[in-house]
Amino acid sequence: MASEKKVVFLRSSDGEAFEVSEEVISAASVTIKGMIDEESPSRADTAATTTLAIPNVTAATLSRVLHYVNKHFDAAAVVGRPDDYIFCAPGDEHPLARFDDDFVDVDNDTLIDLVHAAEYLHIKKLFDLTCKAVADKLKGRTIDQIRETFGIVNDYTVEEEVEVYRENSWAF
Amino acid sequence: MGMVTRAKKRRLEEEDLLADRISSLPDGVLADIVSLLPTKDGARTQLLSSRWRHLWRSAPLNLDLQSDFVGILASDLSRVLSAHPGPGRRFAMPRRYSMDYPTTATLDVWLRSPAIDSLPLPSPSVVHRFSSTLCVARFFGCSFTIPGGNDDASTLQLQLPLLKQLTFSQVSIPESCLHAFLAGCPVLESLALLHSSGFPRLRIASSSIRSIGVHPRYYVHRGSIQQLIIEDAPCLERLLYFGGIEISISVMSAPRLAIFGNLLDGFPKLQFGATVFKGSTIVSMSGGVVSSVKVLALFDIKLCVDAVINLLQCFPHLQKLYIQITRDSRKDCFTYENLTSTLDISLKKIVLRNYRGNKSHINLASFFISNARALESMRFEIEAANVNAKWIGRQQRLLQIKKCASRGARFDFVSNIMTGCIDDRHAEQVHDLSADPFHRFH
Repeated sequence: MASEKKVVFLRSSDGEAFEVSEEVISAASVTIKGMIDEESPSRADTAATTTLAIPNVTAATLSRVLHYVNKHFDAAAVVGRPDDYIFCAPGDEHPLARFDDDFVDVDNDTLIDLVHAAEYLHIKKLFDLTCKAVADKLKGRTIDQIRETFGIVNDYTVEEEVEVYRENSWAF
Repeated sequence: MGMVTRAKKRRLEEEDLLADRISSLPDGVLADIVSLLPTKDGARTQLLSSRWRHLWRSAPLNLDLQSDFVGILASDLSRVLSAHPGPGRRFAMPRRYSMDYPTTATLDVWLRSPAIDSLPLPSPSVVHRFSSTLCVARFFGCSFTIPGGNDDASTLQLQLPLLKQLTFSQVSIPESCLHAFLAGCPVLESLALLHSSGFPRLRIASSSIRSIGVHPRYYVHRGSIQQLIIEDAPCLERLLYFGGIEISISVMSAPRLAIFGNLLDGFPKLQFGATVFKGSTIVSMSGGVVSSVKVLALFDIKLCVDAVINLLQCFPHLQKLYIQITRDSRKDCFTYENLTSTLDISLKKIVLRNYRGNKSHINLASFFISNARALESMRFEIEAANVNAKWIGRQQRLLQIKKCASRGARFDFVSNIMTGCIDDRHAEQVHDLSADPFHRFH
């Protein structure tokens, strides 16, 4: 009984549709799993493929997210099962560690889009990865450097700024 | 004019490009990010803009004085703790606090502050304030006592619903208290017991535990661990014994145990069901083979080829083998004769530590080179002074690497240098579940 693998289509906010295995995306995204479960009673009768609207995520971001999801959640494609890391070549970390490093080595806006998407789609691993990548960009930087990097506008009055600084002088 | 307009336009475009996207993230997400930062970096984010001001206070406090607070004064720390309402995610004090060491009274004030309020402390009065958010706990150099002075801690209602990593280092804790502690940690993944005492007989029955590491006290101490019993640990992947004194380890049920070490010369006494070892020597194999173990480490041992063959037969699915050769040359007795029968060795990776390249070491290495058909890499870790290209070239000839049973195998000769605090390293070996605990980086 080798039934064909079910797929679903995800439509991005700008109208592009992406095909993904239902099994893989359900394992990855709590949000989409919820949508699929809601849909399923009506799907049972028809052979039609489901298309789910993902209104908060653009095509550019969604395609990145799906690239990540296929790497991490497709059991057939995953090189390292959870207990496989111990058999890597010397010096190698988790087989997907390098993929993850490259994945978040992107410009700030793309990274923030990924955090938004991971949060909305409820993909915990991706959320943790992208939050940590943002934290790494903040780590060890001065306030001015962070403001410049992320375009954060200092809206404190001089008095307020002095007050906040005084409260936290131990941290500077 | 034209120039100015273009410049102005470019500036506007740049401003547009640099729209503040990060501040558009929801509060909860930004708070998560802030709590990932080192303590000082986290607090400093309040100065970024008014949007960020309340975030540090709303995120769990990540207070790690060991790595972060070089040179912070106790008075400053008091301010941090009074400024942050909690909860606390981490509160780590360095063992040596060089700058104005806090008085007991100051410590007491810290420990009563809202951020710390709920962290577990080795004192009975605060047992009921155990955190509902704590994920990592490490205890150094303290004594636990049971309220009322009796021996029964089962009445302690310890609940640490989120605790995943637990370390006791140089801690004295009564057996019943430790058992009650563990019973209150439903999702505990890794447990390190380093130089700690008070629990001669430790029983582990946990559906969540993935890693256990034990380093008994060197000097036989009252209540030092003598027996470790893994009664039922369906998720246990690694069991690390860091030497010290002899103990006995019984593994009754740990079907996923993949990483095991170290076996020394004659100890620990180890039982996998009815299969019994005394260190690296197999006493009885009546319990059959131990098929789950894939990574094995042997430490400070003398080995003869029979013992190697016995071990490989007992652990038929072994893929990685670490052998730390003893520095005591009187124990050198590796002998090797060509095997007539074929031996099916599934090993993919072998590491020989303290390799000196003498006759018996070459014999041991040659045994693997000519028999391990699946070998992918073999690593020789050498006392630093010996390593030069000429010596390596000579070793490669002596080892007859070209006649290796496995065609694709890689051979590395590296110097063997260890740095850092050994206890910290042991804790890391237990808690870092993503890395091979025996692998060393150079």
